[in-house]
Amino acid sequence: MRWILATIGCAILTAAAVYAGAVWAPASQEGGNAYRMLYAHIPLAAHTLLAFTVATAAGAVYLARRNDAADRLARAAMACGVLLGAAMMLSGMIWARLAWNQWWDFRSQKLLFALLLWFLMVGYFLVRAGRPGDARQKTIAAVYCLIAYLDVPLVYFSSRLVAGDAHPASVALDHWQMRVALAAAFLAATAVHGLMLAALLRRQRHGVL
Amino acid sequence: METVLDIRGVCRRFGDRAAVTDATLALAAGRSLCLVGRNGAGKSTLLALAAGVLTPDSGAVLVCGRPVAHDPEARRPLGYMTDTPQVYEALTGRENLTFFGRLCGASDLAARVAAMLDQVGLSARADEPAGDYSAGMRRRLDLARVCLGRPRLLLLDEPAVSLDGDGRDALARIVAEVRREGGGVLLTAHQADDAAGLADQCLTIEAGRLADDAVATSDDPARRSGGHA
Amino acid sequence: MRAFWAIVAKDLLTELRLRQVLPTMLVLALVLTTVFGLAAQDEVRRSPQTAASALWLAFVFAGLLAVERAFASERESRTMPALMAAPLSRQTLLAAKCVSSGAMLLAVQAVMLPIALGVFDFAVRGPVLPLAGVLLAGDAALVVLGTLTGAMVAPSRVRGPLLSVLVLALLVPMMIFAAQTTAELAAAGWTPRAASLLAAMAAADVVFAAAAYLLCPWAVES
Repeated sequence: MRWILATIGCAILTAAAVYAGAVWAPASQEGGNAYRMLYAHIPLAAHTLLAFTVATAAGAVYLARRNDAADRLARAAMACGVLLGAAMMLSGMIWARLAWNQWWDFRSQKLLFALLLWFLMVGYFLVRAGRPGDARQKTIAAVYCLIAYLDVPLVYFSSRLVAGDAHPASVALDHWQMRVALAAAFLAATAVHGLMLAALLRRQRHGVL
Repeated sequence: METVLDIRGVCRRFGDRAAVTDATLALAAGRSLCLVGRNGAGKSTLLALAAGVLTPDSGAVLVCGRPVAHDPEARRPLGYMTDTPQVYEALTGRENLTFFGRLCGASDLAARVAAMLDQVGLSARADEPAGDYSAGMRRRLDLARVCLGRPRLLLLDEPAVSLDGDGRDALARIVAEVRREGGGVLLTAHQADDAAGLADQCLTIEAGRLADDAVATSDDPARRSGGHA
Repeated sequence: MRAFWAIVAKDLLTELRLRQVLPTMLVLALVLTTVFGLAAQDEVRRSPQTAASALWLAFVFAGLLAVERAFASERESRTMPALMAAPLSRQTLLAAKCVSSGAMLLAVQAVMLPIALGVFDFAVRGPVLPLAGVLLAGDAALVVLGTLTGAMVAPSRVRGPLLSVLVLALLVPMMIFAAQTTAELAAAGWTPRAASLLAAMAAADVVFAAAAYLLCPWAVES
């Protein structure tokens, strides 16, 4: 029952956030209507990084304490990160299509950052493939996670290096409705992230994933 | 009497399988103990834990009083031989021993290497690539390797495998010399007969647990426990 | 220190005797340089960016061969337990393996660099020392990340492909920096931009080395 209520709650929040971003917030002076993908992209990017951070912290706890619960949290958080990261890339691609009429452009810093980050996170599951439950596999997954996390600042700066000034990164949110729409989007993303994480942890406890 | 090896409540799992459970064992200086058990009983795992090659999930291993898991210097007094010979095939027998001698900081290395080659009967072929050695010769080279640093603790996993009569004699001489100089020897075998002349006590290990049935052949049995907590 | 140099000397002596890794690295780097040169000859000649990227890609793939062999060779000769039981720290072992792999990579680069510069019609302006600095900084990231990852995946059945994928994912940002710095040196010489890029690479190397030092005991197992 709780799951159904939580899912309905998330759906309502998401619908409200989509309405706020797609319809209610006014068009931007610089970005026209294409900028509206920002309401999806920015919260998704923030939560992808948050998921990565949680997975890394849990991995560090596993290395220090050999705590299996920490390992399960790391795996669930990273799975959320991969899913959110894919959604982040998709939103970035839609933005690129709407703004510059192309699905992909290596000169887009946000797309390149999303892609490189996503590769790092997918790598975690390649490391984890094989015998599940093996302590060695959990250890090296945690080590990989820590190393990959250290790479994130490099990923950010290198994507800026490559991107140059082809596509400006920021859009000014000068209207109060824009800021409210972004806040609603963050709230919805947080709810969805929380629900996904809880569902994945539950599936792990039942031996799935 | 000084305890050369002290294993205290050591446990180690591989995935869902408990390889070693609550192993407690103390080996006094001058003693030689043989772990006897079937394939998969946990003999090799326990030896690897004693050598600091594997880290226990719980418990502690002390060699000459120092914890071996995280302290490299604690591994200096030990010599560890696995059931497969550890040689670099591209290097000659002499080069193999020189390399491992440098790792363990053996003094007067060239002379020590020559002496060990002589002791195991490999002097004549010392300058041939180890890849050309037979299985028995590689085993002898491995035996020479573990003794380079004048170890105080020898950990030998099925040492007699592949050795001929001369090889077994060399092994027995080495074990006796280590014991005479106040060291200890822990070896493994499938059955007690394989340890004849090498160990003065045998201890059974079964499904990762040390049994409570040490067969002592002298008045001073090593302290051990096992079974259920 | 004695143990460290003993391992490096052993690895290099073994490679000199067997000649398995170095020739393969060199041929791979040559083949990749040829492929890039054929695929984008005008672009490569016109753009220092493209030439520098192609060069670093060739170096990375060659380097992957060296780092993959670092611990895999010990597993194949069953000598990992002897190394782990020896009185040396895991960090010393990892550092020695990094230096062995790095030495092989530098040897390949010493041969490849003049060839690639000729094929891509690529001239480096200004002092040569900064170019050496970029090579060292890029190589350091490659060998540290590659050797650490190689130690982690060495027991795996699919260690070769897995190592390549993981190391490439980790290295792409660093290689972007390396290519950008090399291109800057080619286009404009030793500029403040080149200096700050090189400093960023060096800082990243320090961070990765520190992380490898700390994580090594968990990564290296027999």
